[in-house]
Amino acid sequence: MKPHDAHKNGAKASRLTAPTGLSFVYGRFSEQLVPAIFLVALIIGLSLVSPNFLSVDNFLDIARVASIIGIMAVGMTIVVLTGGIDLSVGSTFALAAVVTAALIPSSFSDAPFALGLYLPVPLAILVGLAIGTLIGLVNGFVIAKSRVEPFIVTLATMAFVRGLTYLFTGGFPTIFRPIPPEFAWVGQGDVLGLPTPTIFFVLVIIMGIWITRRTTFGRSVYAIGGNEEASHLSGIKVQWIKIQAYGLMGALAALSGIILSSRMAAAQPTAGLTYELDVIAGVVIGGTSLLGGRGSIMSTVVGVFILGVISNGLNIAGVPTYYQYVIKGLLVIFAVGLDTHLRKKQRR
Amino acid sequence: MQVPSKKPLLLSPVQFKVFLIGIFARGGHQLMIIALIIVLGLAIYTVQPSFLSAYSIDNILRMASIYGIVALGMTLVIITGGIDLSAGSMMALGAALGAGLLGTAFGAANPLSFPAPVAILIALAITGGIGMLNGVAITNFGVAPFVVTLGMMTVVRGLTFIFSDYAVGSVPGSPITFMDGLFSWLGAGSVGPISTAAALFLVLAFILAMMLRFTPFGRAMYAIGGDAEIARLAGINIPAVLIGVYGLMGVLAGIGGIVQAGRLSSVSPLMGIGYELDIITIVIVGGASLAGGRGTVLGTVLAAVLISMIDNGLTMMNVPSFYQYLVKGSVLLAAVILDQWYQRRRAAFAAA
Amino acid sequence: MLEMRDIEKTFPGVKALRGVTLSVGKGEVHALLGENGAGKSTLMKILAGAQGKDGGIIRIDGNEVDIKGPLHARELGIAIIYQELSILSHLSVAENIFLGCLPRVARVPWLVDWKSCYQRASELLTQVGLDIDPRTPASRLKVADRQLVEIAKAVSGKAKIVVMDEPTTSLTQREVETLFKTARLLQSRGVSIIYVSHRLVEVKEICDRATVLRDGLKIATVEVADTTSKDWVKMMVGRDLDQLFPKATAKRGREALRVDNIKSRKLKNVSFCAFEGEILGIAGLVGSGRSTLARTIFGAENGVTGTIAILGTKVAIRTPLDAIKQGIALVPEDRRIQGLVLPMTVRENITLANLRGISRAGNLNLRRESKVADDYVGALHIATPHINQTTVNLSGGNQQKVVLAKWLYSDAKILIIDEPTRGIDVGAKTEIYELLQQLVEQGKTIIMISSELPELIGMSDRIIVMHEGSITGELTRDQFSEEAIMSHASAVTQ
Repeated sequence: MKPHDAHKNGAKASRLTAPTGLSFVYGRFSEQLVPAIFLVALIIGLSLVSPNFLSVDNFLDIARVASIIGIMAVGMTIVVLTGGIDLSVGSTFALAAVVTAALIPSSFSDAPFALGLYLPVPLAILVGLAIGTLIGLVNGFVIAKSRVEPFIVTLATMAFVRGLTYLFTGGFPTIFRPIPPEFAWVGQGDVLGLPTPTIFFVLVIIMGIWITRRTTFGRSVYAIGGNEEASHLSGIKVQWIKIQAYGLMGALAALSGIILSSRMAAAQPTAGLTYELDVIAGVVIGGTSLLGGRGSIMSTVVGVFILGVISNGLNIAGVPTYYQYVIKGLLVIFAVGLDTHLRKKQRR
Repeated sequence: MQVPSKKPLLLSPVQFKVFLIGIFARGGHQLMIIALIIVLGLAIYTVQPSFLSAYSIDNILRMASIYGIVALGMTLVIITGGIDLSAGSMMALGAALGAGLLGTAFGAANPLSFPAPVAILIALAITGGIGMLNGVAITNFGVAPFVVTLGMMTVVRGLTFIFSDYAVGSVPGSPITFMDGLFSWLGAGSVGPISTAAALFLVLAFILAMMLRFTPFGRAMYAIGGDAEIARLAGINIPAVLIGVYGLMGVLAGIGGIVQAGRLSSVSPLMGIGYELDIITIVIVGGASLAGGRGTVLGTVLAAVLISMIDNGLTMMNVPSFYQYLVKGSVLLAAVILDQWYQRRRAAFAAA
Repeated sequence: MLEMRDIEKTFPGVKALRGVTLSVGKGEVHALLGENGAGKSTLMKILAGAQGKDGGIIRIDGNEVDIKGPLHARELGIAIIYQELSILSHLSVAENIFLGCLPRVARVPWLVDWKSCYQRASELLTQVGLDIDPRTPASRLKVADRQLVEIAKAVSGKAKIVVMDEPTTSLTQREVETLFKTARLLQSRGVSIIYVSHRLVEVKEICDRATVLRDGLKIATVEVADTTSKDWVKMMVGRDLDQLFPKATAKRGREALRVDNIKSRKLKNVSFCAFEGEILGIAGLVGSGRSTLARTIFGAENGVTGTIAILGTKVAIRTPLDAIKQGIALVPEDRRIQGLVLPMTVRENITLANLRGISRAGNLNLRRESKVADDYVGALHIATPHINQTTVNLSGGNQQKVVLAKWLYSDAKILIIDEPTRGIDVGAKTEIYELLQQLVEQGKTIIMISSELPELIGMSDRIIVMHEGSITGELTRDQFSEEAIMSHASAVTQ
């Protein structure tokens, strides 16, 4: 019997024993279940502590803040899935923002060095995105071709790009006199009641889910993270996929930076400092493994919201900032510890 | 019957040879750093002669020592295959605790007041304790070092701010300024011809090098970094070693912070933010591998000097400070790629 | 002096040991035989403290013991040398030998006494026949030397029982002899050795008695000298040898693959050809270059010169992707590390080499993928609860079938298999052979690399033999014999 004719012999037997109903749901979403339950518990707990928490305005606030980190977290998820990491996102965030700002006609800065070139807003944004993508591609290229760990490569890039940002701006922020309405819309507008950053976030999430679940690129990403050697021996273009993953990360970091500078109506060379840690924290709390091959976009979204909800909740409850640091830090450790522990138990 | 006399251990020929082998285990790499130091020193000297003045060298070594002391701890952690992102925060906490517990801070609101040595000991005990907590989370809860120390970094920074406010009481976030003989001696003083900081650095480096080479604790670090499972099957008590290593890291970070505090006679709760980059750069340039199992104290010491030279050199040549980022990033990348290339050449040579 | 009585062990879904009894005398070399999956490894892991037992008693020198863990086992005098060596490359040989128990300085027990360490290591190395400086970094040793270091490590702790788990898998003939010399030396010192293997030739040479396991049960304990080959096979496999290999000569077609003058760092001018419808066996000792040759044809090696022609047309193969496009497939030696992406599911692994087949313009068609996966699971009888099961928990045989399914789906015409049945139990082995036979009957070409001579002789149409990077002989089916293959493999001139 030829393998290709197998279906004629009722080879559907394997499907009959597949789990259905509740066990199917658990099997498919078990990865996201623990963090999701945690998030729900958090929300319930916080709304009991402070009645102001549970309001539409407040949730929109949470969403607006979470979107900036969240957009980057989607890109970071893909990078982490390949078994890598990108510490340079904060720097790319800043560089793209300042370059885009400088290209916008009514921008102003005390910097001694001026580009002298102005572009219509959409083009300026595109240039910013292109720069982010370029930085990402360089990261990817070095990581793929040399055997240096992504941690080190992106640590170096982080410093380097931050330096470029300072160089470009002379250390001065770029502001707008005034801010063009099209650019302001990017970070301050709203569509059907939802703030535009959130809209962008949702679009990026949809794109991310589609990429990871429904494209050969996404499948290759998971394969590489799961076993790079076996993937290579199965004909996967490992280097090319990695380069693309980091390129995408760079683009998303740039997008985030541009959105924030629009919201703040200013582009700071110090923007994005330490953001990489929040982004990675979101990815990790959501349950994606730093070793690669396991995780999902939705987990990251949950993780990002856990962080956002906590910050917001603590703020409303009037907890001083410093105590928030302590709580957030402990939370990261606790959340990941819980997830690791449960995962180990599951495997028994 | 003649009882053979026991020679003092360190001087026995075999032990000494072993010590040298250990130190130069990554011989080629360390020679490269020394060469770079010489070349760089001369290069900067031609542009800025005062670079090699006594004052300048003292400054370079002082800064190298502060970063270097923390880098020593980081070296141990990286040898075991881990990482500690909370180093910068621990420096700040150690410094804040040490200075705050003196009770002599200007505008102080807290009633606690300890003599300097006691204040320092308490500070180090606390940073060491927190370091040990890192170790516990990593071993007992199985959470990756990256994640644990990432979280701890935020926690400790928060604690630093909280204590700093408590110690000073007035404007949140303002630095603790104080005046103390011991602190100043540590940070800004000298022991003979060299600065106290450098002397302390060298003493600590020596002790740790000895520990790495001659104690089972030190050897266990290399074993765990090489392959934790094999180490476990050989009977090495991994939790004990890791908790000890991270605890030691905490203590060393605290020392670094205290020396820094002494140098400026003030502690900003923002101290140490971003230092992780420099410290990890120093350790990696010094020859350790993030994968674990490799690294030497000598390499870290030399790398600390090199990085400090770069920092100070750029400043003396009136290069704007943000160029330092560019340079440091490039140095790190260059060092690692060069090391890879060197390893590949050596492997090919050995196989031939 | 060692007695393991009625040992039981159950894993989820499978009873690995069903009341096995083993006894070994002092200074005896006792073989533990059985096919893969018979329970040998499990039994030894229990003895070494790496696994717990569910039932039974263990007695050492008459005293009942409860082995709590690997350290405890070591203290009791049990040392085990696993197949995957536990050597740390960055440390010196001496330090590896005394890992976890470095000699301390007298009266200063928190300092390591290196002088004593190197001295004692030297002594142990001489005993196992390894003439190297104990300060050498372990990374510089060849695989065989590492194994001897492993033995030195085992013996350093005054072991009374040494378990060797498939020790000769990666050794050359000469190295095997050194190993045997060491074993005899240990024996003369009263150390008992349990020699786990399924290689009869070696068992016959060095073991006194043997216990055969099959499907978790002890079949028999025999005196090695009194047992014939037929007896062995009957005990280990449960059926007669000729039933194992479903071989029928298929019709030979066109010349599918022609390899000319392949030269690289390890290969010295290799040329051969393979035809449609045939199984070409490649024999040779470890290190002879067989796997390297396979990887070279598959585009996974660098620095290669020479030509490859498919159906008469020269092709350029520089990466695995090139090879796959030409219809070549490689089922690698180590399926867990090179063949499967363990965290991924059965369906994802099956389609991995041909994502284009289940996608359009980069978008996956998941429904089509399910169908394809279902088809192959059915056709190859892959035992898995469903296609979304992660492959990490499948048995060796089923994992191998998933790898085969992957290559079948990539529509490969030339299938190179490296050690097709390593680590697979008897039942699954025959299934794999039947599959291979079906494939050649469809006109495919199979190149089979194996270290199991019965397998090669049973399934191949022709066998080429390699030795140190060159082909030293070619045998047709009527010329097959273990002696002929071994003489070519050792390059003994006739």
